[in-house]
Amino acid sequence: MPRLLIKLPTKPALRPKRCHDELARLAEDAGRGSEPALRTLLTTLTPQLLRVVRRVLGAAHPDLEDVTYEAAYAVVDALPRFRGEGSVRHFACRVAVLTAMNVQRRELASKRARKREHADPEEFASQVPGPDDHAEANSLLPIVRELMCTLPAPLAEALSLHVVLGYTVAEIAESSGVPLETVRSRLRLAKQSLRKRALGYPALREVMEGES
Amino acid sequence: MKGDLDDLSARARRGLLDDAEHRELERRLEASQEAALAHRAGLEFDAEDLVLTGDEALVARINQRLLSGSRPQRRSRFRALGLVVGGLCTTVAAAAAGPALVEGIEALWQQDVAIQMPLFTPAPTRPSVAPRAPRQPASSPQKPDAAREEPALAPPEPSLPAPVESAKRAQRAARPLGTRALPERDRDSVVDTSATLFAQASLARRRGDLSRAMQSYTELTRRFPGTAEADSAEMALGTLSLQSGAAAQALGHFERYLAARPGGQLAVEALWGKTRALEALGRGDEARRELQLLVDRYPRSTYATAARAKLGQAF
Repeated sequence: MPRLLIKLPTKPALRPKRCHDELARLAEDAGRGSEPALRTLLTTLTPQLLRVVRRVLGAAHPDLEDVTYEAAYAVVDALPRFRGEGSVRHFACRVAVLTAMNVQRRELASKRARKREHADPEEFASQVPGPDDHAEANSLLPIVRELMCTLPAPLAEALSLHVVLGYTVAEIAESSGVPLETVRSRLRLAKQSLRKRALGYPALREVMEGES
Repeated sequence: MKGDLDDLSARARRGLLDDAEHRELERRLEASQEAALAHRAGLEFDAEDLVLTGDEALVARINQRLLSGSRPQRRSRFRALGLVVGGLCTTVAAAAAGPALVEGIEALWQQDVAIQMPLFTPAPTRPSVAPRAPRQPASSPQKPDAAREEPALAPPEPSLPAPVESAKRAQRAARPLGTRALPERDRDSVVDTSATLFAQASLARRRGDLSRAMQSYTELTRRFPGTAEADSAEMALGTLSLQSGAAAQALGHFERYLAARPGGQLAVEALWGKTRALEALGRGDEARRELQLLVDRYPRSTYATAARAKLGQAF
């Protein structure tokens, strides 16, 4: 019980290393409601958010603009609560990844619901991968995108931050606010799932067998 | 050798590894199939990183939507407390003063909340809160404010006879998909804006009507010079000119974009287009210089890889 009452000092291992962040001041001012600061911040961040959303959803997704808007809105909304853990850019990109992932998950859920409602035997038959699918299966992008929808949220987040955005373990830990070892463990599990999923594609299996 | 495999992979993708670290990464990737797959997937994502024509205009539109009144309002932390206290007071009053007084207070309370609510309703639903609503026009988040401001800016709508309005609505519904990205106000306006012209041109391009697309893009650059859409139009004109074999014209368009926005988001694409135009004109030396410039300025872009490959070949 006393542990709950006494404010324990934060473990040094968890405290992020402070680096100079050129957007920190802007974000602070924008969070306080400064219009010019917000304008400058958006001009800097929105192109990046668009690219992140495009990476997660794919360039052909019809709602890229709206999802980027949602992401930018969520970033602006969260600015007053941003406590400077990690850089503003990483924070914004993480928000964009989570927003886009949520959109993907919602779409998958509604697709499944539609299938349950109108169970058509022909639809099941058409799910058997054809030659085009096999040819396409040389790419890992669809598999990673699918995993982002199906993995548990923490694993999907770690996978997307590392694979899609190219963050290091420390950067993921910093922006997600979790210990380094947790991130490593999540990444390990996510990569295992990626391998299991890739083994289902003959073309990729051949590549993996050839490499090993 | 320090650093774990995931970090080495991430740093390799940023081009931050030295030779020894590269060798170490390769050795360790050979030993782990899982890490090799993740690294390969990351490289595929990097290669797919696209900057498309029109991105700049799209970003400008998103920022405009965010800045023009639909900025989230900060919720007062005392509001929820006020609602609870208010509710308690109403209950106490109910016990003390009878039903008539309570109804009066409740009506007042509801009225107060109804007036305040639109101010606190965020424009889009937060991603994790509710299922996705059907897509609304771009100006929809501002509707409460816009509705209040409309009478001062636009002619009063009630003066339109009902059949005309219904015909207009039917016409709006029949409008092609591409134009729906524009805010309602802009789509219906009589006067063209840079955004409407850009949308018209893009729509024509998507339909394959290239001459009309080029006409609209040219009109846009002539009538609205200096706007984000005009600069993106230069890029589109450059690309379309290259496709139609007019390399000299394409070169002019790419150069104009680079002069207007040397550090713009499409600068790397403009540089790439310029090298292609120069190559098509047979000016190999200049094309090589521009390729080198592209590699020096944007070493991590997708075009840099292609530029390096081209520099390795003879023109």
